[in-house]
Amino acid sequence: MAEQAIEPLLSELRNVVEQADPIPGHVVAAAKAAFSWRTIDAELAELAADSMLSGAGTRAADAARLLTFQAGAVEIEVEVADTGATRRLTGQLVPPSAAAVSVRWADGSLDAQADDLGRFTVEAVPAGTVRIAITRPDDSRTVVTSWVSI
Amino acid sequence: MGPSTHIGKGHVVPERGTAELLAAAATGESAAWDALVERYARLVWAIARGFALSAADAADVSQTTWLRLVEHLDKVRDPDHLGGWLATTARHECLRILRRSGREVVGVDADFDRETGEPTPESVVLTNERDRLLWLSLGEISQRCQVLLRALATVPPPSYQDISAALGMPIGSIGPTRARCLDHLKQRFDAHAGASPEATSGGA
Repeated sequence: MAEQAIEPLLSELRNVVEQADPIPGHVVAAAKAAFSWRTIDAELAELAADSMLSGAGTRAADAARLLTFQAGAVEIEVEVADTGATRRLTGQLVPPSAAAVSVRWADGSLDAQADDLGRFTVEAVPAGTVRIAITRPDDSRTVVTSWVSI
Repeated sequence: MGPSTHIGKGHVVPERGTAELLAAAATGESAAWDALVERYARLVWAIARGFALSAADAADVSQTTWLRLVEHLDKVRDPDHLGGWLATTARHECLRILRRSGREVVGVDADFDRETGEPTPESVVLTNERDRLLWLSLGEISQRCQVLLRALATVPPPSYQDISAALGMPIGSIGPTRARCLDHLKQRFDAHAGASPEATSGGA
C-alpha cells in the first residue's frame, strides 16, 4: 500500500492526541499482564452468540443478556443479569451434567457447583472482563470460556 | 535495510515481524507478547476513544481485546493481519458497550456519519491554543471520522488493512474517507480559529 505523504494536519493531530489522550500506563500494563492468563491444557469454549450483539432494534439495554459458548459438543448458556455494580450469572450446561464452575477475573474468582441438570448460579460477580471454567467430574479436561466483558 | 541489526556474533537486536512475535508468544515467550502489546496497544486505545468511550470503558475494551488474543494466540490464521484482528475485536467490543448504554440507536452505521457536535467531555490541559482548538474540533466531527483519524494518528501508523478492520469499511474507501474527514476537521478548526485569532499564529 503506497502511503501518501502525511498531511501536515494529520501529523499535527498526532501530536495533539499524544498530549491530550495518551494511552494510560495501566492499560498497557494490563494488556501485558493478560499473557499470564494463557492456558494450555484447557479447552476453549468460544463465544458463539451474544444477545447484546444480535437483534438490532431490540431494547437490549433493558433485557437480560444471553451468552452462548461452545466447545465441541459442549455448550454453556449464561444469562447475565445486572444487579447494580455486580452481575448475577445463571447458567446451563448442555448436555446437562454436574460440574465444578469457576468464574474468574483479573484478580479473583468465585466458585459454584452445577447441579445434575447442569444448572448453576453465581451471584455478585464484579462487572468487568470475566471467563468461566467448567470441570466435569468424569472429564479430566477443563473447559474455559472466551473472555467476555459483563 | 534489513529487519534485524546484528551487533557482532551472537548479539542480535531483532526487529521481529508480527508473525514471528506471534509464533514466539504462542510458545510462551512473554517478551514477544510485550512487543506485540507495544506495537498495537495504541491502535486499540485509539479505536475505543474514537468511539467516544470513557477512559474506563476504553480500558475495558482494551483488556477484553488482549485477553481474547491470548486465548487465540495459536489460532490467528493470518499473522500479517493481526492489527486487523485486534481492530475488529476492539470495534465489536465498542459497539457492544455503546449498545448496552443505549447510545446506539438503530445501528451504528446509521448514526456514524452524523456530526456529533459535542466536544470531547474530558477537560484536557493543552497550553497551545492551536492544539486546544484542534482537539476541540476533533471531538466535533462524525464518529466515523473520529475513529478513522484517531486510528491514522496512531504511532506506529497502522496499515490500511488495520484501519479497514477498525471501521468495518472496505480498503478502497479509506483514502477518500480520510481526505473527507481531514477536510471536516480543517473546517471545524478554521471556524474556531476565526473566532480566536491567537490560534492562527504559531502554526506548523
